[in-house]
Amino acid sequence: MVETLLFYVFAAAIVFTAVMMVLSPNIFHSAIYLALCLFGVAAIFAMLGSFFLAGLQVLIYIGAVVVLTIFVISLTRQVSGESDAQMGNILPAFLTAGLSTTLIILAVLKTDWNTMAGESVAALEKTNNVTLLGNQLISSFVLPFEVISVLLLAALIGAVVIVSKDAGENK
Amino acid sequence: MNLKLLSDELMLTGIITAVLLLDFIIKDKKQIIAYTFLALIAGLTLFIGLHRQQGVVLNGSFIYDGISWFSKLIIMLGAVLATVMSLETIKVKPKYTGAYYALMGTSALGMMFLVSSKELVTLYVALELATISLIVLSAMHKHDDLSLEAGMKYLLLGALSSGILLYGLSLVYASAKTTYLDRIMAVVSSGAAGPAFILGIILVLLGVGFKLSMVPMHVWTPDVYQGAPTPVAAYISVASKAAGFIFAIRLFQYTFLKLDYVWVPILMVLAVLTMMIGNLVAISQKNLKRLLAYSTISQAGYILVGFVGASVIGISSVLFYLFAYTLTNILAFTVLAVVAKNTGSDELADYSGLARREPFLAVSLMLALLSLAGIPPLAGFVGKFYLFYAAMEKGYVWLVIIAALNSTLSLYYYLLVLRQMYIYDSAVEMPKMKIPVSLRILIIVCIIAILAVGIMPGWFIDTTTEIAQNMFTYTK
Amino acid sequence: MDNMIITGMLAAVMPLLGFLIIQAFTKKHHMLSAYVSIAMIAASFTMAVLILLGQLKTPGMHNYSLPWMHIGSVEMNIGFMINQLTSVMLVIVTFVSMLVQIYSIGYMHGDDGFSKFFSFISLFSFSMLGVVVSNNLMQIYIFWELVGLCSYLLIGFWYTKPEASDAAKKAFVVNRVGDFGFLLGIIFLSTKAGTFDFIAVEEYVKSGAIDPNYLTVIVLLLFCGALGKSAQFPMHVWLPDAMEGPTPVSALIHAATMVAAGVFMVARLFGIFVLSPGAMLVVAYIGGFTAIFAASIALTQDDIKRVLAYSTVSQLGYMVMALGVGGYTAGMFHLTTHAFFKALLFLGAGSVIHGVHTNNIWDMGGLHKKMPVTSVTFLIAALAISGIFPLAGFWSKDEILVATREAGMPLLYYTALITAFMTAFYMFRLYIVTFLGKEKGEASRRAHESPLNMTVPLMILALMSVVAGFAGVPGQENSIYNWLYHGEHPHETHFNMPVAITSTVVAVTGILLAFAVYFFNWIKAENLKKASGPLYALSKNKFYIDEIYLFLIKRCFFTIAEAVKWFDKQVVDGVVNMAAFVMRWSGRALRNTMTGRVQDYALVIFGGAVAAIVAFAIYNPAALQLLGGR
Repeated sequence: MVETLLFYVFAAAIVFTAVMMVLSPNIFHSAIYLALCLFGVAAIFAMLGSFFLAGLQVLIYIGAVVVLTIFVISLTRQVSGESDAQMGNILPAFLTAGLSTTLIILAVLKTDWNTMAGESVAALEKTNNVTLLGNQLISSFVLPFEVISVLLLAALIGAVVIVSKDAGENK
Repeated sequence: MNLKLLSDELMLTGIITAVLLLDFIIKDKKQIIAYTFLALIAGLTLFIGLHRQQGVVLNGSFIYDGISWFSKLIIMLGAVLATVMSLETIKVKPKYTGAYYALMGTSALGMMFLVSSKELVTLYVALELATISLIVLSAMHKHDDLSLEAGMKYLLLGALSSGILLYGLSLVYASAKTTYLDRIMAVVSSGAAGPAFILGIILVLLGVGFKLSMVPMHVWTPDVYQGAPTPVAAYISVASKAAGFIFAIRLFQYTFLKLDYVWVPILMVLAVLTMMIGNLVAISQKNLKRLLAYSTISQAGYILVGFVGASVIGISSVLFYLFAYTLTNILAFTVLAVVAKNTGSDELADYSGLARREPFLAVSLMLALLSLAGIPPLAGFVGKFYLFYAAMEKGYVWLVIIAALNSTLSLYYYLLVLRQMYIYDSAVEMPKMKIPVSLRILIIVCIIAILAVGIMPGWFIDTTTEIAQNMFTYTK
Repeated sequence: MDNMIITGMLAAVMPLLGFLIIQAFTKKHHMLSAYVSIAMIAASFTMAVLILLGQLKTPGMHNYSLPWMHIGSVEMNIGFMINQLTSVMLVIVTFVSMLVQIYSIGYMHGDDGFSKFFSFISLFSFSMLGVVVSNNLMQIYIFWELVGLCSYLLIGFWYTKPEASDAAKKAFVVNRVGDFGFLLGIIFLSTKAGTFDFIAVEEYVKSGAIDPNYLTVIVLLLFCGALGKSAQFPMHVWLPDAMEGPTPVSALIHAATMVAAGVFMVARLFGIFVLSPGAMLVVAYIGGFTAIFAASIALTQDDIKRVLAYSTVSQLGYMVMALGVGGYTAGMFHLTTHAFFKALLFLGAGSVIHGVHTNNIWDMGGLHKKMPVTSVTFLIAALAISGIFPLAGFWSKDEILVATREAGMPLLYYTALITAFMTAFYMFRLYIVTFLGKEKGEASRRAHESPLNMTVPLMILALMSVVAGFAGVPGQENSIYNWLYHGEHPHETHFNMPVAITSTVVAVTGILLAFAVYFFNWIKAENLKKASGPLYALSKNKFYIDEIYLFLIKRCFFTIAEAVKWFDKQVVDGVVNMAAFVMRWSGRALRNTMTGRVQDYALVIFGGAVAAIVAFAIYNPAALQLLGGR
């Protein structure tokens, strides 16, 4: 009972902060809302028993991504309060978003999730999440794991190439 | 675990590492890196071509079958040709030369994994590897605002489409509770496909559509092609598109084959829209790169026509067309790159009188465009005929009619280019163009290949047919 | 593979060899290129004659296929089929091509593109021979397209003037529209039959495995190809414009060979065509209508080549009509004779243009004295096309008239008669105005006879125009009718005296009327013009077909294109441009404004995705549950 109640509280918080993030005229505020939204997602992960994922969510998304975003914003804008929002296509955007949300919700609700074949998640709940994840990463998912390392390398090279200042350039 | 199956990918990783190390060692004369890279990947292409393997590793998440062999060849062919094109035409500062070719390598690596994976996480990660490398490559002409803009658009829209794809994949995973394609196929066969699953499939279809420049995911194409360095645009237009189609084949023609009542009607409508929009908008283009961009959109539409066709012959026709299209598009873009190198422009107006100044380039571009328009005896004709035939085998009469009509229509704007080159005189006197030897060879090789594939397609079609059958027979 | 196949193969390949040699080696040496080209085509011609002689001795079907590729379970071949029909076409194509090339040495003298011209002509001859020897649908289509491409190159690339380029583009695009139907027909037919081979397809269709209605659709689609190539109404518009090309090209491509390809194709697939009576009816009436329609336009044209162009369209209509009513031999026979006298007319016109440097017949006149050879040969051709006994046109035209009459189609019969009258009239109008009467301008005063290498081909063709008809004198044991036929038995032929007399009377009346108007001025041309009222304007302006097409194309095609472009530009970019403008105005960097465009693009992507899902959910009842239905 308490769990259900908590879920709805967090869910409402996520929706609210997400909408506010989009609508907020101040980009700085948007970033803060984003952090809050991600925090709500972390809470839901925690409620589902995936403490590791919850931790990652907080560490990486809030700790790294959003903080970095806020840094960038405050570094590139002289006045962080200035609005840069473009509300030109707000109506079609909302229509699209609303429609897609409706579709997804309907589809998920209409699906009978119990008849689906495949491995049961319940069996995994007993074991330690972190250990399981670690094992999976170097056994079943070793390939994507390695590909990600190349991906990071490529991204790193790309970032260096695009951001670095060339000699003689005074931009 | 049989690591031999991964030898191509491992070697490419080695090549990338070697390029990065060379970049450290060699201080000036950075062109050495380019030539080394070219030699290495050309060697690798040869190796792949001669050394076809068969097998599955990692619980069926990585497969080396005919289709991955063939598409790896196309990808590496695209990479080699784009590299040759890059040697003389890119305007990247010497200190970034190493990075440029390394990124070329990583994107090829991503695509190679993409065509060999049979597991959703690997597929997705491989796709991202390919895309991120291409994004950086598009923005490589840093001094050019258009190039940076291209990179940014590619990044943002690519992220959006990745989001759509990922959402679809997550719905598929949530329904099937596995990320392995073979097991998902088993779930599909058992008949349990709920609405969430179907929604997932549609989202995946649209997410993949980004790579194929399929309407409505095509919007990025013209801007990115126009802004990106020409070799990169060529590379995106052939290799990336080929990889995307293989991804689509693995998912739809294999895993979700039983659910064709979901994706076939959608693809049919989108194929029609893709052809129509690509062709109609191309007519009014004044910039040759944008024109080619819209032309590739319409080409994607033709390929989709074959894609929805009968199972084996459809895949075979798609593979064959991808091959023919790779050669043709590289040829067209090479001519563009040479002209742009000399005149600094891709505008159609600047091609006036090209036939008189540079008959060689004009004839080459003419052959490329006529092949794209599907005029025999060039490769494009057989390819298109095969695609339409595959759709007809399944009885999609109207689709074939619309496709043939579009193919007729497309001739119009290709002829506009020819007319510009052959009839009009340039307003200003132009100096003789310099055509680097490497590019001259590239052009000649492409022309010979286009003619060879067009006149003697038998062997190629037999190969693609065998490969298409191989995908179904060889799973374990 | 017997000798006949090898000979046929070589005959087809020779011109390709010529093309390659010129392109590779002799491009710089003009005369050498011409000699290479002519030598190759002469070799082809020799082989074609050998084949014809062989076929005359022992008529029969020689068929040979090399495997080319497999599509699914269907085998595609490169094949050669030699029979009576092939041998006739081979001789016509190589003979006319050879004469035209000899003629071109004089006509094209001193032109920059001399070598290029000969290489293209060689390539064209190769493609045309490829069409002729093909034994399957796929191959004939490939060469079919190649022929179109060569004609595009020959009209457009030789002349660098915009009208020629426009004409070339028009020809190519119109042909492609026809080919679009042809290709669909081929795909439909071959997916049904599981083969591309003419003989196998014909057998399949004969077995009745195809629904008759579907067969009619297929046959009409195939016929679309002939509509385009043979310039039948409503796709005739490209041929008159194609006259912008050099005159020898007009003679070869737009009179004797390429435009005959459509007729030839129908003849080749006759076995399939006859199985669909409905389609045959359409073929016959389109042919008949084209014949009279084009002839009525030819009455009023002022450009010597345009008169001949419309005359060609009209005569092709005749052939198509003949095939449509089942007169296989009559159609092919007329194709043969027509190739000779129409090539002669064009080459004669070229000779005249060469001499006077104008195309307008009213600037000519009195050329008979200046150019006697051209004039006499032209007169022979004009008599032949008018159907005057005993020239070639008389025999072949009569056979068509007999065929329409015996098929029980009086409407077509009278159409053909009226066309014959018009043909005689406009041909002699052309002849009188050009060659007789007084010199009308400076141009015709300076005119001179063309050099020998131009007049000799004229004389040879004139000879052929006189004698070719005797191959088809009806009722004879060794006439063409007992040799070239379709089906089990030769078509029963006999000399139909009433028809012969009627047609001769009609033709002579036409000629006399032309003399009355343009030579003796008994009837004033002005009065004739007035009397015919709006009809004259219609004819003069070619029934405004071009204008109608232009209007329709502008209206439909460009409206759609503009709408799509508008959508792409305005809806997607318009908002952005506005935003960009405001942004630039406010002094911001352009780069920032681009984010707006990306947002719009993103909206297209995302909106499109959602629209696709919604559309699918609505389309597929089973998926309606997505939206909570059921």
